Amino acid sequence: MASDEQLLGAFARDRSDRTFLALYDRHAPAMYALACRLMGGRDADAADALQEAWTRALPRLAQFRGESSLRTWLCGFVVNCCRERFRGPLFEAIGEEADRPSPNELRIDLERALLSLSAGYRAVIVLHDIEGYTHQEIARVLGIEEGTSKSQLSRGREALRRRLDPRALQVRSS
Amino acid sequence: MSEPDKRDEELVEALRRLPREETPPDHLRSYMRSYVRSNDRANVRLNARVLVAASLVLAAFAVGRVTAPRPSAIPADGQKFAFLLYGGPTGGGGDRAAEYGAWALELRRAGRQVSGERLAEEAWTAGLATGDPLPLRGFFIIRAKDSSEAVELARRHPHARDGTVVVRRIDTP
Repeated sequence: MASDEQLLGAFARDRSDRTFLALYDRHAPAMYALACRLMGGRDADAADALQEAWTRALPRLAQFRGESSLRTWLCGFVVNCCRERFRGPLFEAIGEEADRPSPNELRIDLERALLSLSAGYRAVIVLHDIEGYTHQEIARVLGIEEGTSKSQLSRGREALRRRLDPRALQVRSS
Repeated sequence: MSEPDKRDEELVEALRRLPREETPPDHLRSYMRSYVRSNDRANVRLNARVLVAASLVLAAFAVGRVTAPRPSAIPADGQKFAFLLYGGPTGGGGDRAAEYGAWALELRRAGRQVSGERLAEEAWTAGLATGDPLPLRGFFIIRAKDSSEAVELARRHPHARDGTVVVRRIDTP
């Protein structure tokens, strides 16, 4: 299977839709999952953000220097597009808590609980705990202070735990 | 390890097990394929234009005249028009949506303001019935310098092949 670098090189030469789709098929599912989580499960908005991210990334593919993985670089476009799609500030005061989800299978519970968080908490948890960003990287992509990222993560995790069935995590981790 | 740290660890471990991928809607793939194709065509056209312009300049220079091509006039403050898309094939998903998107994209890349939406099949009526002969499938809002230019753009819209595009000037100042 061709590496990302090989596909990028091939696309720079042939500009063909076939080569582009090889890159798209490899990275779009991860970008879309990230967009869905950042947009709070609003699939239509997530799809718009993904489309916007690709159309922004496409003319810049030749500028990719490999300082991070291609996926991380592409996900940066997703984060920016999602951020712009929020009408108000991303980091707003936490709103009303949603009802506690019923104790079904953990993944569903956790996913639902995550989507029910306020946008600010969710963004930091998704980027830090799921995507593996550092606080420094989060601060840069979201345009906030590192300290804000840390405090949002701590409060966000606490809010997430309050929404989860206490047994859910223990069952899986035992 | 303190209790809060342990609880965090369990939570993070569970979060890391969540699926990292989700299949995006098919129409996005079709759209991006059309986007890349139209991008490529636009580059080819641009290169051809540059070549032609360079030849003209050289030719003009040879006979002692330098002719500079005039920039195309994109209306910055023209009028806004609505393109109402009636009839045509049902569904409108996949390649069709991508084709319409590519049409709008090409105009946007030329510096023209364009936006549009596809309408769902369901329709509800309040007040008097309109008696529309054909279902309204979608619309575009576009800026053009006058109605002649707007109609010309509408003729080139892919929906005009097998549907009806009604052009209406937007009257809001």
